[in-house]
Amino acid sequence: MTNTYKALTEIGEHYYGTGELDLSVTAEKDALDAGHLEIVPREYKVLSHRYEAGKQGEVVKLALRMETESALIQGGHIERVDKPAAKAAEKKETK
Amino acid sequence: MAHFVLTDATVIINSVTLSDHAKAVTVEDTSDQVDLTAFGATNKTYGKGLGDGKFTIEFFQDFAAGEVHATLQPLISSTTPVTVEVRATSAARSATNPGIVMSALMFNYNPLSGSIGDASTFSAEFQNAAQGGITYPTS
Repeated sequence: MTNTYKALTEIGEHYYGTGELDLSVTAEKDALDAGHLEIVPREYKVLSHRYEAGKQGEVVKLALRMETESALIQGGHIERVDKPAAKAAEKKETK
Repeated sequence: MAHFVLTDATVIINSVTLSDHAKAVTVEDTSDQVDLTAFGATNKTYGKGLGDGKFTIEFFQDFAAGEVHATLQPLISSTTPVTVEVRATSAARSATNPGIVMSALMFNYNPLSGSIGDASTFSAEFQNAAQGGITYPTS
């Protein structure tokens, strides 16, 4: 799964830019740990009563690293909330 | 806090509370003991080396959606550290109920072991994966 990132340094801007990027886990770790990028928080729906960041059914904004997000989605604790506008745009393109 | 019996500990892994499926917790906050004894010494002297941390948590297994296996199994293949927190009680963090927190990787996951008639329990081990080591936040 891709994440949306914001470049924080000139190096980050040069090598990665800002926006939706398909980075490997290692590339994401390197860029975040070095402070070149930050994850732009996205909305997730909390599915599980066990998840601490929000109540079940609530929509929360989180900045999760790829593997952390993947573990929580696989575990059935959260799911991505796609914006209705984005869905509409996708439908238009497919027509 | 006076002497107490551990009955209501908190176990949170990757922001997921699994306390009601945990039955034992061991926290090891350690430093290497480095021998610094030189020629001419009459007694050994030691210094502290690298710190380390390890949480061992014993769970009752549960393969249902959103439960223990679903939460822990993805972590065995993950290379990204997750936050693991345990507390002595289920109350909020405080000076008398500090969080014991570590950014960790799970290196051992034995999802099924036991004999006929046993409760299905297993241990998961989390090893320190960040320079911060184990911390004890009170808020």
